Formats: sequence, structure tokens, C-alpha cells
Amino acid sequence: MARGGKRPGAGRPKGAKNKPKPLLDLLREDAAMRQRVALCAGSGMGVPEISIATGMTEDQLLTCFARELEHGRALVRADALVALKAAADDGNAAAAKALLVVTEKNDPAPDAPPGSSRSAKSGDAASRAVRYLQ
Amino acid sequence: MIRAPIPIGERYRNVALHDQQDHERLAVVRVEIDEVYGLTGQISALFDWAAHRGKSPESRLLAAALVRAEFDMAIDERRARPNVDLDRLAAVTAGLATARHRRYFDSMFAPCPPPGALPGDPRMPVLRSQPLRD
Repeated sequence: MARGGKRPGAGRPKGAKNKPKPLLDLLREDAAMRQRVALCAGSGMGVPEISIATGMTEDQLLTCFARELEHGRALVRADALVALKAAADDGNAAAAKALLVVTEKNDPAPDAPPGSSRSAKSGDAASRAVRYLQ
Repeated sequence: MIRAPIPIGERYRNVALHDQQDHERLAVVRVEIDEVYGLTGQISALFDWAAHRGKSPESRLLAAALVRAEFDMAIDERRARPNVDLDRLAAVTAGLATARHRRYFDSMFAPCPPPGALPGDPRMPVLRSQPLRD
């Protein structure tokens, strides 16, 4: 007996959409790419260079990774600090020393000459020199 | 005349200014200290300043301390050491903080100024307006 038409229930259910996700959404969700863009931006690369390195167009970069491009340096520093802290907690003395240097650099010296800052290289040398003189 | 340490009249930018100097002389010393702070990071210029007998002892001591600070910072940060002879630096600044000459703004241990040397010559120290009192 010939049956006309489709069998009920066959095929794709009604209402279900199998549209592929837009490329920009895929890029936004790619954590590895996010990290890579932050690293490139944090190391001082410009948008054209990052675009070549990641294989994205500059428009895609600016649309999906604006935050990474703007704050890449801070994100990379934060990641590095977290890694340093973890290593120091595990008993790595070099990591603990590096962590101390980082925290001390952001601490203004009480005896620093006016106009100098310990975060700057020259300020560090000046405050050290003043200590030698005393 | 040997005193250890030399009495301090006042401090300028955390650098001790020696006593028995008139206001005009102190003004010169302050300017020279500012100039030395401006040379921070330029090792050879600082070394030349420390060896220049026409400069004030206070600024020469600061220049020497800055050179030592840069050297020690290079060691701490595992960078290449600056190409300076620390022994020679100690020799050219010996006694500037402890033993001062009665007639010149210089160290007791410095050699006599060469005959015929004019003011401005690196080997010619500045004559005091009045010989040092005991």
C-alpha cells in the first residue's frame, strides 16, 4: 500500500532550529583565543599585528576582544601574579622573592626624594643611594 | 682637619649639606644636587661628576652613591653590571664625608691641585671664601 506524504514524526522536529552559531559568538566564547589576544596586547603588539597572528580581521578583533585589547597588560600581569603566588605557596623561593619585589615596587619609600617614585627605575636607584648616604 | 662625620648644617632632598658654608655656596650645592639627581641612570656621567674636584663634596658623594646603587641594582636584578671601577670610585671620593680640606671644598686625601690649573678644571677644587675653622 502506497503511502502518501511524510510519516508522522519523521524528520526534524518542528520549531527546532539548527542554524550554525554566528562566527563572532564563537570567537567571543573561545577562552584560549581570549587569552592569546590579551597576551599579544599586553606584550605591546598593535591591532594589525595581532590580527595577523590570530588570523582574524581587525574588525573581528575590535568587536570581540575590545576588553583584552584595552586591558591586556593588566590581565597578563594578573595571570602572572596568580601563577607566582601559587608557585610561592608551593615553596618556590625564587617565586616568593619575585612576588616581594613586585609588591615592594608599588610601595612608595618614605625617604624618597621629591618627585621620585620607587616604581620608576630612577626612583629606585635614588632611594637606594640616599640610604647609602645615611 | 679630620672629623668623622662632618657636621651637617641642613638637609636638601635627603642629602646632608656640610656646615660652615655661606648662603651663596649652599645655593650652588643645592643646584648641583638637583643636577646629579637629573643624571640618574647615566653611569659614566655620574662617575665623571664624582671625580670632578670642582663640584661640591655633597653632590660628588651623591653621584658616587647613585653609581653604587645602579651597580647593586644590576646585581639584584641579574643584569649586566655597569662598566665602572668601584675601587677607583672609592678612591676619588675618599674622605669627602669624613675629612675635609681646610682651604678647598674637597677631601684632605685628594692630591694638591696642579700648578696652573684654572677654575673649571676637573682637577681644581673650589677655594673656600674663608679657611675652615676648628
